[in-house]
Amino acid sequence: MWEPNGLQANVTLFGSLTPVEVLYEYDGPRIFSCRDAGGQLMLAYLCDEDEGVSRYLVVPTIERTLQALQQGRSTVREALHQPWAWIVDEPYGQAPSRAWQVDVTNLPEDILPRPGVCLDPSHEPLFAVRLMGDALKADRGVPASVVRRAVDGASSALKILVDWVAERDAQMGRPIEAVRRLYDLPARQFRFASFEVAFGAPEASLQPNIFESERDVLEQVGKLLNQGLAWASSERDDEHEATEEWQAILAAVQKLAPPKTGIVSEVQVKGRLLGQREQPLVLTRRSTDRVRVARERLSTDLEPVKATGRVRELDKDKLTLTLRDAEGAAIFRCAFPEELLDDAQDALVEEKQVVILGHKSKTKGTVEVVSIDLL
Amino acid sequence: MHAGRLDLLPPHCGPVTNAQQRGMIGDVNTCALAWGSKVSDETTKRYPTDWPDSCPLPDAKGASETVYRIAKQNPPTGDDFKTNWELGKYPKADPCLRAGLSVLKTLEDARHQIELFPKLGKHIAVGTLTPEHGMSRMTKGSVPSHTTWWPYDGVERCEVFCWVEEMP
Repeated sequence: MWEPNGLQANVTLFGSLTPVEVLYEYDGPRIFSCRDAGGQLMLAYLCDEDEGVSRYLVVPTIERTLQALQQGRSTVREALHQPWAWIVDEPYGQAPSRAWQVDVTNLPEDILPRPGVCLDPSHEPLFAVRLMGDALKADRGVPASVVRRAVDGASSALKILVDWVAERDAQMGRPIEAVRRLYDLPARQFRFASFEVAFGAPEASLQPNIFESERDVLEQVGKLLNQGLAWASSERDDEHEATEEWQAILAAVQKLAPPKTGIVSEVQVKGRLLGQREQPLVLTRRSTDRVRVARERLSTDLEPVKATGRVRELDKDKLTLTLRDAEGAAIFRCAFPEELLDDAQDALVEEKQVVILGHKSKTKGTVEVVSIDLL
Repeated sequence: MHAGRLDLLPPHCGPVTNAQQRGMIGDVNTCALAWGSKVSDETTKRYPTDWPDSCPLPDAKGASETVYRIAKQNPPTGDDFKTNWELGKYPKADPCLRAGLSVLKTLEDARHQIELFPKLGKHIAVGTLTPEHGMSRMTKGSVPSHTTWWPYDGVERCEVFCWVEEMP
């Protein structure tokens, strides 16, 4: 086994490493709290094992840290990253035999849990977006526009793909209920020094068949998003067929890509939704250009439209509305972004005339709304 | 890159080919060829005579499930399948749990475990347990699919499993 780089410590200080509470168990306790000989609460993590010896990383801890670990508010690595830390060797079935005081930041990388990994796999983000830029520093605060961009970009990208998959599956005779739950995901964590928002999975539905169908949709969304992000972040020159699916993928990736100007210059995307992946997918301004050019090539299907009418039907979950003329005939079937929901509701409730600007798909006949102005 | 069904459960060794297509690393080990014949002739569904009393746990049932186990080797060896009772570890722990082997019911949980303990094995092996292989019971902790398997005496444990992927 590797030789720890640190001063030898008095091993009797650690007592018997008897678990007080086991936090992770697999072939015995692997992460647990215990008390040292003086009664101080400690967190022990099985970091290596060889030749009849279990090797633990042991750090002082407090109840609040243990609760944060169990509730998914802290990663295991964060809980272990303490200024005081020891490597403690415990031969099988015996008391600890050796200890070293160590600096966690100098330990071999592979003896620590990977960054971002929580105790419970279900606590890890389903989808996380991190906005990077030289001017994004924790001590300067994060502009609200950056926070809004991260949250809106993530939700909008997911909405585009959820709508696409849900509509396709509905045509196949599999209606999808409550699609909004799938893109209006619960925000679980915010990180600063750059800005990251991490979303958890939707809470399990009380109706198992709905949950299954939602999981299928998310799985499809993950595959599509992976495909688009991988393409946008690569240097490959391969052309894609101009399918509706590819258009939806590009539209979703465009919502995530960094702006051409401003303090956000890079966006990192990761999460269980994207499958097993060691590194996040990275969108740069070059990716933004790639996606824009590709969308322009495909955009012959879209034409700008402006129409005046009344909103008579509104689906708050699907974020769609029907614009009708004075005689009640449908002018357009429209899809609108979340931020226009209040305007759309006002138009419906107050029965006011509205002017809608948007892009109409010649093939589908539907309008992607850009603005709703009440007259 | 494979997006990954969150609870992907290969029912047998077939998906290894798919795993290779998905860019996972490594080769199918030879135990895949022996799939389905994992019980030695000496096995008569019994446990060692010096086992702890009341073991397996009372509500354990004949194993019948696909499970995953983390291994240090590809292919997995007998060392990857020793119980704490056999290793002499944790003498103060629940004696019956010490006599069993931890397995996980989902590939996602197995991957998560490697991310939590990278040094303790990077290979995932999959096996389909049958009542001939022993008894099992869900023993949930922070990992919902954690299951304890009490293999019968004489079962060639590593041959029940075949390698399925290596985590980078």
